[in-house]
Amino acid sequence: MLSKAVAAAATIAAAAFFGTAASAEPLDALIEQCAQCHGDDRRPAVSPETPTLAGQPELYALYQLVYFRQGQRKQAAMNDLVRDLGDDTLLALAKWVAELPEAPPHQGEPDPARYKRGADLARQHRCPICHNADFAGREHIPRLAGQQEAYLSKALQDYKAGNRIGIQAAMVEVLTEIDDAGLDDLAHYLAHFRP
Amino acid sequence: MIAKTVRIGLYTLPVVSFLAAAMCGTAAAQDKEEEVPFWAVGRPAEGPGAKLAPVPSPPIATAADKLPTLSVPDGFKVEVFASGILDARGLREGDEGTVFVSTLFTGGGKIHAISNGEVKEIATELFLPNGIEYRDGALYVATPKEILRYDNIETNLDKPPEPVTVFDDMPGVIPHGWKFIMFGPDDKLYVPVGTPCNICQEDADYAKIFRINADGTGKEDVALGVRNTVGFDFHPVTGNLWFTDNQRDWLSEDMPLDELNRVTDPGKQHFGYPYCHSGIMTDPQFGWGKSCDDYVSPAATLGPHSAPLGMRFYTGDAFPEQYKNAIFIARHGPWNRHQKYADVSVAFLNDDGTVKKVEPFLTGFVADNKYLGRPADVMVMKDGSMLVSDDFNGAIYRVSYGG
Repeated sequence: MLSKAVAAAATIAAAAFFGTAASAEPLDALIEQCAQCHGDDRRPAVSPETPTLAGQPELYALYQLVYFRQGQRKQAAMNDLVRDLGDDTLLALAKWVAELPEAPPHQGEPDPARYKRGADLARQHRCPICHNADFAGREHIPRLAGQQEAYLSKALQDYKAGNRIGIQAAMVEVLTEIDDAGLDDLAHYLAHFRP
Repeated sequence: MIAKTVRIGLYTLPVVSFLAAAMCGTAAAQDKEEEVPFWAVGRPAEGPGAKLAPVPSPPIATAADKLPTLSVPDGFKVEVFASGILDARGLREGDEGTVFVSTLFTGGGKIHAISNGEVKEIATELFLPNGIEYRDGALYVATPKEILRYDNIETNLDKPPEPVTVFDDMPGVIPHGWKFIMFGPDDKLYVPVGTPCNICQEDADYAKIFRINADGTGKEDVALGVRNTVGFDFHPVTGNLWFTDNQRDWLSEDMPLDELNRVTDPGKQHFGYPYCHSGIMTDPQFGWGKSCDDYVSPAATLGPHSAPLGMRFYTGDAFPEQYKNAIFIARHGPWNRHQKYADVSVAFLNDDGTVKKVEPFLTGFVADNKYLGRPADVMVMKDGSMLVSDDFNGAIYRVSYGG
């Protein structure tokens, strides 16, 4: 849960954007751009490697937007999109992410063997300590349950390789012992996660 | 070990010997234990406690007009001194009036200088450079591993000199490794080394305050059994060192109580960690066979998990007489507790040096059990006003009286 101060700031920022018809356009247009790739309640994400945003905590979304803006997290389209955006806009976008309607659960059936291997890895490496037992995330920690499988695989590989660091490099350390097949099993488990 | 610790996360437990000793299992079991972030060791598996974790700050400093509205006692005034300084932590004032500001986790390893209303970045990408001190024209910066000195800093804010390494004989581990440093009336620099865990029995290099000469020589212990102090100051009359100390996590919502301590016999006193907490309870793991009578009790307790950080004696002339030589204490507020609170409190002392009472002074940092701000350090300015840093909002407030 994001602090009230920042939540309030985001509300003010959003209110400022929606204050007049003219100033409403930039944020609306930006949000439409976000949704075209990431999906929203009306459409799916554009590719398996594009993360869905529904259910992500506001502070996690804000951190990622800041990382994209500063170039710490590299993805050309995202870097280009947010490079020149101001703080208030990033706060408003994070708020939009946090308020997206919950995504429907993953439709596909998991491979039982892979699901079990992923579950074992998640337990051994204590993923729920930070991501919570339901993998819904909290504050600056992302939701993993129901996320796109291909995106999760890529994200895990990026963390393991140090291409993503995060706030405290905890992921880089945790993943050092898991091989590529294990990362894929973990992604399969989390994408299909059922409590 | 040090290299590994530096590489891994701030909240990830390094390979500390106590864990290996505590584990009776196989090597594999020990490997798994290392993956528990150090703050989470001992966390309850279920219930509200199972979701407690360190409270992250936003990655964006709060705009000046969106900062929380704070309250002070009648006659005092609080205003925004500076905003937009992400992760503002330690405060020091130079001879020419420059205010130096350190950062810790989200601030990019930066040190800022506020001069004539302008904020300048004078260092960046330092390793958790929380501890700063100013003396004789030089800025001292302490990381968990070393102490650096930037000479003639105030005349070179636009082009700071390369720092001189004054001292580097410190463990450099991340858990409780970040510093608060200050020169004492004996012209020695006082430096803490926190315990590298929540609760553990470590070797003699940890859980203490030591002092060194300004050139880094003459290291000697000042206080033992100190879990994690991130704030201290010297009594303006007696010269005694007073320090805040953060007590262990996961005992309960309401225990232990964090401490305000007084050192009267440097090098000879043990303040209890890890055996006795708050002067009143032995530790459930390390306290068997121990007695709190054998350790120095706190001069005052400051509330459960309250995270008291920076503290200063009020040495100015601008506040009412009752505040003279009272202690202002930044209570950063608990993460290891469901019910949150945070403020700058003031401790009034009796003539015999004991604590008369502690009460809230600057309030308004919490609403609906959520942080609106978190005070990290306090500093009395030469003009008698007081600055308060807020690392949650990246802001500095100024408290003045009258006018």
